[in-house]
Formats: sequence, structure tokens, C-alpha cells
Amino acid sequence: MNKKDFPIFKNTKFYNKDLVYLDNASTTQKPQIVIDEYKRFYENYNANIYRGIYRLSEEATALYEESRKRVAKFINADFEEIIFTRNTTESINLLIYTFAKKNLKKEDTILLSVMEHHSNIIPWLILQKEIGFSIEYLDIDENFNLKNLEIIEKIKPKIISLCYISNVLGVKNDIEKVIKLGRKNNSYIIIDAAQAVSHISVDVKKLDCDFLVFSAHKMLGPTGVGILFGKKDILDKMPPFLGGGEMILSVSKDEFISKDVPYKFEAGTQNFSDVVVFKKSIDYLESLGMKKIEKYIKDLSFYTYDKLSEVPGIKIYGNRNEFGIYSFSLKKIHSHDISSFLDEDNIAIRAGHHCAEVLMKNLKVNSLSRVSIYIYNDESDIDKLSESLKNISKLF
Amino acid sequence: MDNNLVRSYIIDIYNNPKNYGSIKDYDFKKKGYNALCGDNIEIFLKIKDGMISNISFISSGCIISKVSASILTDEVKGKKVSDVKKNLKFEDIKDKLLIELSLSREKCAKLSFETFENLLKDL
Repeated sequence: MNKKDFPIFKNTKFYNKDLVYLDNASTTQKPQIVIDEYKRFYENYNANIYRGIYRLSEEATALYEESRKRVAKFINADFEEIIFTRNTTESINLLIYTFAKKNLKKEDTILLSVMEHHSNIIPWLILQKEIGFSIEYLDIDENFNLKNLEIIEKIKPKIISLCYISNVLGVKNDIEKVIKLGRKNNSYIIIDAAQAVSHISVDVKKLDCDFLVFSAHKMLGPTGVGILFGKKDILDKMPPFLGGGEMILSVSKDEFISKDVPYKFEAGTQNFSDVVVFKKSIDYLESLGMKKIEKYIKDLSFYTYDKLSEVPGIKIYGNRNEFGIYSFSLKKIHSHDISSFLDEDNIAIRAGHHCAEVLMKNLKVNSLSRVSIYIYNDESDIDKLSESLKNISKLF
Repeated sequence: MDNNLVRSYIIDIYNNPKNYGSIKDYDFKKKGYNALCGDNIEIFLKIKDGMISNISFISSGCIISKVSASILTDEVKGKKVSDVKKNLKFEDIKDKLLIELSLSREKCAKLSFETFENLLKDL
């Protein structure tokens, strides 16, 4: 699907071979219109946003806010409910240091799952040391799905924080059911949608989650832009995160008054150029159509599973899923060696623990190889991967 | 050398590493760990008349780390401790690997070398 729109595939020919990029759960490549937007912005509109009482700054500010509107529309949120951060990790940390810190007490319980990314575990462990609340983890069943969701009724977690689609297993969690159970038990719900927003249509109003976080760079956009969606009435009550320029209405020696949301949470000079460019990646995705993208990835994902399954000695940790994320082991070969061998064919995949050591321990492995596809991948990429893996398998 | 030949040379050493296992009556031993990829190694050493009379290792990890350890132990076995301390360089081990190491893989090759260096400090 539209590989020609992505110049890296024309330019990068390591070992004189075409690039087969299959590490998309980590970050995605950028289409030409996103790359061109940097040039357009810096050549025409560059000035610090909000600050200048002059036309250029006002134009830059308008572009920045245009991006916020675009993001809001993309996930069906309201304009003020979109806060720009550096990445998904920072979005989660913002919530933990403001919302969670204010609301959690020693006797409270929060609920995570064993498949969470480190960014949705470690900040909670840090805050737990300070406050002393309990952390429960949802486990997975033999089909790699979250099990025992009913525990929500029993433990009545104050906060539930879960990934939408696992970055290791490629499984889509039954978030709708979690939210329904959470609502019944007065839980606040945070959704880590880092792997979801690029793959499926996400509608925060329909989902009725309290917060949803994701990153621009995993959806053809620039690095350095994270998104935090929060329901306005909850954001209004939250204390600010970082203090500094542009997040205040007034300051005296003894106190300050914060601006309203979303500005309350955006202190200091923002990463405005990247945010402006981000709009183009959403434009691009929507020009293709999310429904079409879903279908394309689903078909290629099934094809990937079937081709991987042909490799002698492979063990896939996950089901034949619709999102093109597969983690696997191959005989007893170390995942770093598999990556190195594939690299000789200019095939890029991920190796290691994928920032999910809790899950790795649960699966009883030290590390896994991971393939993750996106819209510019095609069957020929998967054929090359499968062929290369078969050759590696033969060596041992 | 041809890529495939290098590949089979490396895999051959990986499947049949030299000096693999423990030494029962060792004089010194040292563990090493690479937190980045989870590789670990333990080197055992037997000294007689100032010579490395026996050396072995046990490791778990990638091909590069195991093959480097095989090459390293083979290189120093039977040599005078003082000579090894003075002359052994990582480049010598790297050369014998015959492959170009990317930055991310060099640490794998260095694990046994650095563990051995630490072990020498105990002598």
C-alpha cells in the first residue's frame, strides 16, 4: 500500500538490498508529505507560538492549534481535551504525577496487566513507593487474552490502566468490557493506545475512557510528540504537571494562577514544529482511510502469520491477529543473532524484551524476536522475511 | 572471505566451542553479565608455574558472545600470565572473529574479554 510515498525505501539500500522494515511497533517511516512539511514550516512560519505579538508568531500558533484540532477530530475528542507531550511515556507520567498522585490513597488498589509496556508499570511503582497503594495485575489465558476481568468487581480498583493492543502479542484487549466493568465500580480508566491509534479507528466518546495516550511517531508522524486525551471535567480538576512559561495566567512572589486546559499542562516552549508536521501524517492516514488501513493490515497480518508458521522450529507467542504484531522464538537461537542474520538481508525486526519484562517472565522467556508490519509493507516483504528465517533455521 | 564461509566458520565454533564447561580444581573464577541483552558468562582458570595451564567458560547468550569466549580461551591457554597481561588486546580476538561487528554487537564480543580482564586483576 503506497510504498512509493515513503522515500526511505528508495534511498536506503544497505548491503545493496531493498529495505524490509518490520519494526513498526517501535516506530514508523515517514511519507514524503510529512517530510516536506518541515521545510514548508521552517521556510515560512517559524516563530515561537503564543509569545509574539506579530503576524509570524500568530501564524505559527494557528498551525499548532490546527494540529490540536486535527488530533481531536481524529479520535473524536474536544479541542481542549488534547494535550501535547513528548511521547506516550510522558503522557502516562503526566497522569501519574498529577491525577494519580492527587487521587490515590494508601488503601486504594490500581489494576494493570502483565502485558503492559514498562512505561505503564514503572511510573506506578515509583508512585507506589511514595503513597503505598496496591497494584494488581490482570493475567493472560492460554490464548494470550486477558483473563478474569471480573476481578474488577471484587477489587474495585481506583484506576485501571491498560494497553489497547499489546506491543508484544498483537492481541487487542476487550477494552469495552473493562470500561463497562470499571464504570460500574467507579474506576478511572487510562488506555495506552500507542499501538492502536495507527491501526484502528479510535473514538474516545464511544469508548468512554477517562484518558487515552499515544505517540505521533508510531503513526507516520514525527518523534517528540506524545498525545494525552483526558475528559475535560477531570483535566480541569487536575493540578498542573510542569511549571513554567505559558502555563500560567499570572504569577506573584507567592503564588500563581494556572491557565485553563489544555495550556495548563503545556509548560515552556513547546515542540511546535513537530506538532505542526504531525497534522500531515493524520491527513495522510485519513486520505487512505482508516477502514481501508484496517483491512489492508488485517490481510497482510494473516499472510504474515501463515508465512512465519512455515519456518521450521518457530514458536509464535500470540494468535493469528489482525494487527500484524508477532513475537517468536526460533529453535534455541538468541533473538539478537536472528536480528543480525536478518540484517544481512537488510530486514529490520526487533529483538529483546520489548520493554515488557513482566510479560517475558510470564511467558518464561528471556527475549523474543518481534515482527510488526505497517501500511507500506507488502507480501514481498513477508516472503523475504520468511525465506531468510528458513535459511537461518537451516544453519542450526 | 566469502560471507557464507565466515558464517559456517562462526557457527561451527558456536556448535563446538573450545574450552566449554567448568574446571573442578580451578584456582580462580569470574562471572560477567551483559545487562543489555541478558548474556552471561563464567570463566574458570587454573594456573601452574605462572602459566595458564587450563581455562574454560560456561555461558548463555548469543553466538557472538560464545564464539568470542571460545577464541579468547583458546588464545590464552598455555601462555604465561605475565605475557597475557601485557599483550592481550581485544582487537586480536575481534580479528579472529572474521566478521565486522556493528556497534550493538561489539558489546557481545567484549563480554568474555572484559570478564577475563577482571579475572586477571584477581591474580
